[in-house]
Amino acid sequence: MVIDDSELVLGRVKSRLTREGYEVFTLSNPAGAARQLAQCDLVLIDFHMPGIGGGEVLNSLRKAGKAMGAQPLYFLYTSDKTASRKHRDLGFDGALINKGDDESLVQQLAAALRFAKLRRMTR
Amino acid sequence: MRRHHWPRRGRLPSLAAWLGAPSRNYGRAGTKLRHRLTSGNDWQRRLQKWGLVSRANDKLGEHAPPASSRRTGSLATRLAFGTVFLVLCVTGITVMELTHREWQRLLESKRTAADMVANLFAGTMAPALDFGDADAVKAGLDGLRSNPMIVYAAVLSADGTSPLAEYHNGRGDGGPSDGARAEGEIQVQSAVHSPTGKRLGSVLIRVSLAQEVHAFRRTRARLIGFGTLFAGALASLLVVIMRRALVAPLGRLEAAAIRLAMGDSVEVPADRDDELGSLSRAFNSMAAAIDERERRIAAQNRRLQALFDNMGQAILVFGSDRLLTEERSRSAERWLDARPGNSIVDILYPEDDSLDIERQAFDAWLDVVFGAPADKFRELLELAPRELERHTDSQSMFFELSFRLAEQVGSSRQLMVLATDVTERRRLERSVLEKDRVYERELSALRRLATGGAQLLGGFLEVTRLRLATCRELLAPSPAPVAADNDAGGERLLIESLFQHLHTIRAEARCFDLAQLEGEVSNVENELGRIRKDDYRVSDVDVGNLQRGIEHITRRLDDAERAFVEASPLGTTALDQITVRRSRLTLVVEAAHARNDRVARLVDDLAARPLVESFALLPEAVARWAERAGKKVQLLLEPDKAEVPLALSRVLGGVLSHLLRNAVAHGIEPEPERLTRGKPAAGTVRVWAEPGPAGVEIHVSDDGRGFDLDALGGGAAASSAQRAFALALTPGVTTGSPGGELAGMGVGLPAVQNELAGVGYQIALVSTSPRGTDLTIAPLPRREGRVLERHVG
Repeated sequence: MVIDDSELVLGRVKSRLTREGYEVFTLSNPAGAARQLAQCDLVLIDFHMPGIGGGEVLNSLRKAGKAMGAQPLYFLYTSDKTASRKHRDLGFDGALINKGDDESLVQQLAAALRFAKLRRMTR
Repeated sequence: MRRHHWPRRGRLPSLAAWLGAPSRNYGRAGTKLRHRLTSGNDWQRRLQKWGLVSRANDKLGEHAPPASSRRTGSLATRLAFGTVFLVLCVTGITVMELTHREWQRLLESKRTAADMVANLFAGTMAPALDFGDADAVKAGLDGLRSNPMIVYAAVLSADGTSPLAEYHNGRGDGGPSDGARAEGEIQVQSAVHSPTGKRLGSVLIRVSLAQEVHAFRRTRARLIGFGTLFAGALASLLVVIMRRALVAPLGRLEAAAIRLAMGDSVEVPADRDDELGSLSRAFNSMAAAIDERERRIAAQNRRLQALFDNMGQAILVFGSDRLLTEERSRSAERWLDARPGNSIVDILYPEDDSLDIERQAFDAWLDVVFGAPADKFRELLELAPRELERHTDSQSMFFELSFRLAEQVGSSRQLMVLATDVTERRRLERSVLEKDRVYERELSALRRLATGGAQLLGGFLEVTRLRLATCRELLAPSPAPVAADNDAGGERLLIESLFQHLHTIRAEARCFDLAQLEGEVSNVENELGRIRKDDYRVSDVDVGNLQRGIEHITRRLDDAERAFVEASPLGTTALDQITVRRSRLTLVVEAAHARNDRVARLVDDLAARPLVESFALLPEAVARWAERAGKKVQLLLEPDKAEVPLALSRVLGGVLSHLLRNAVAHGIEPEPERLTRGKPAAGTVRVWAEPGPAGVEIHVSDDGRGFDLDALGGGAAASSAQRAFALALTPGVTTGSPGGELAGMGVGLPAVQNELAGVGYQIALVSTSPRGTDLTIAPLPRREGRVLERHVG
């Protein structure tokens, strides 16, 4: 799942990731995101969104996910390195950087999913 | 000797100490010195050179049995000891034998002398005893006093039980005895007989051996001295001989063995015809065999290395500590700068960045792999990284990664990674992908055009300008509410708000491939990032910089708009368009057509299409026709803001297509002919629009050879060009000029006429000559055209 206020960004991300074989839900408004959580392995959240920050979106989704028994990985997705360095403080599981670079996104996403599996194995 | 007293520092130890058997108890000073001797380079080397200390700790000693199971001391030491011991034993035995014989000789001489004195004394005592003259006996004894050697003398009766007279010089034992009473004395006895042979008694004399003992001691000392000297000289000689004959050749063999162990090519002299010569020859054979084997191994290694290097793979081996071992291919050094001891994580992901999820995933994978049983390795391979992208200063390299279990000894495990250089392939793929993306973008652009022209870009421009206006307000000194708030919270809010707006602008700019705009936004974002790091302290200089940055962004946005307008055939109109449904528009047109008022005219204006829409396909088509006809043709389309009625717009593209094809096929001459006629090599076809009395008129002209009116037949040329052209509009009439596959079937102009007539327009010939042709598409007279146009609508 990708949450970003820009429809253009969402369209581009969805197009690239769908070509790689991922099933992608895109949302420009986090309001309806909780309903899709059960089907997601990983949630990408934009840092800057009008009226609400990525951290607040994360907190509400985590609560909703726990209530539903869904525990996807929550990753910050931004090109703002300063913001992404705070991802742990904000409660994200990780951060995907170089937002806008589709090839980088594909590689980072694959690594993030591998990382998630490995983390589950070591728990 | 159990304890050695080692010399003080700076003094050589005695030879006995050096050659002595290794002592277990050296004392503190001895231990220190021995340590110094055996560990100090000079002494160690010197002792080794002399063959007196074993080289058990040197290179060859690394492969020797443990010290506890080895005999200590060198062969030379042991031989020296043995030689000295043997020589000393032989010398000692010889000296003992010689001294014993000398003593016996002295003793025998003394005994003989004593016997002679006793016999003489017995002869002189015979008359005295025969006559029983005691005084004579006593006087005879006194005569012996002159001999200092005689320590005791006695004249004994015939039964020998008691001395008749005796003499004692006070130094001996002083009593008669049957032999030597002391070690330093000898005793002899001689019988005294009368002339008739009757035994009268006997005399006993005891003689001191002091002189003999003294002489014997002197002789013995001399013998021992000579023997010792001889033994020492002989031992030294034997040591020297052994050193030259045995130790030195063995030392050379040892040195050669060390050099051989270090990988040198060696050969020792083997000219002796003895056991050492045989040993040397055997050694040389062994060295040659080892050398040959080394050479073969080195050649094999070189072949393997060359094989590795030509595999196009970087090969690395690392252990559970993540550190690289020595085994690696040259490509690994060249591509990945891999050195033994480096961390594999740092090699593959050199930027130690906590944000690098690929590095984190690889690190986690290594944790799991080295913690799991070996038989799980294949399953875990699925979670290993498969691709790697490395950025250098000048280029990016792409690798496919493959992991193997290199070694498993007990719990120790080593992994091998094969990194295959797939840069060219990946670049090709990316190039194809980029082309796909360009194609996709073009499709997307077409899609955007089809779904509403440039209204998406127009929307982006509009919203972005609003965002920039907001940014300007935020940065304005007053009365903007946020910027005016000078406390830290206000400045934080200001910076974060700017960030948010600019972030969105940048992301959307990227979607429209507006790289320069994106770059300008990025510059301002960097400035904001700096302020953010500076704890949101915003100075006046910062505000000025940010304002200038916003103006730069605005200019880039204007540039983007200008570039789009210039590239669009519709010009600025492109940004003023919205998509409406044709069926609904047609209904509106039909509904308004019955009216003849302002609404009807507005509806006609609403439905009118830009003339340039009809030009859209012409440039490519004309270029294709000209190429097929082997001619050079230049098409000049002069777009302006002219619009054509909806009905005409639907047929105008086809009509122009017919006319331009005819111009290329019949009008424009081949290049040689044009040059002969003094015309430019490339023909020109021009299309433009002008307002006419009844509406817009479209002109099509060329600088070709003009209509061949004579060829139309019927004396058309003689009557007038207009009538001849009217004849050309009749189906089946053709000039018959060779138009190839493009034209000349007598179908084009009549079809054009029909199409135009159907929408209330007609085509007319304005002029034709060998310098060119000018045609006009103009509305039919009002009454006729209106009816027809309604029909089409």
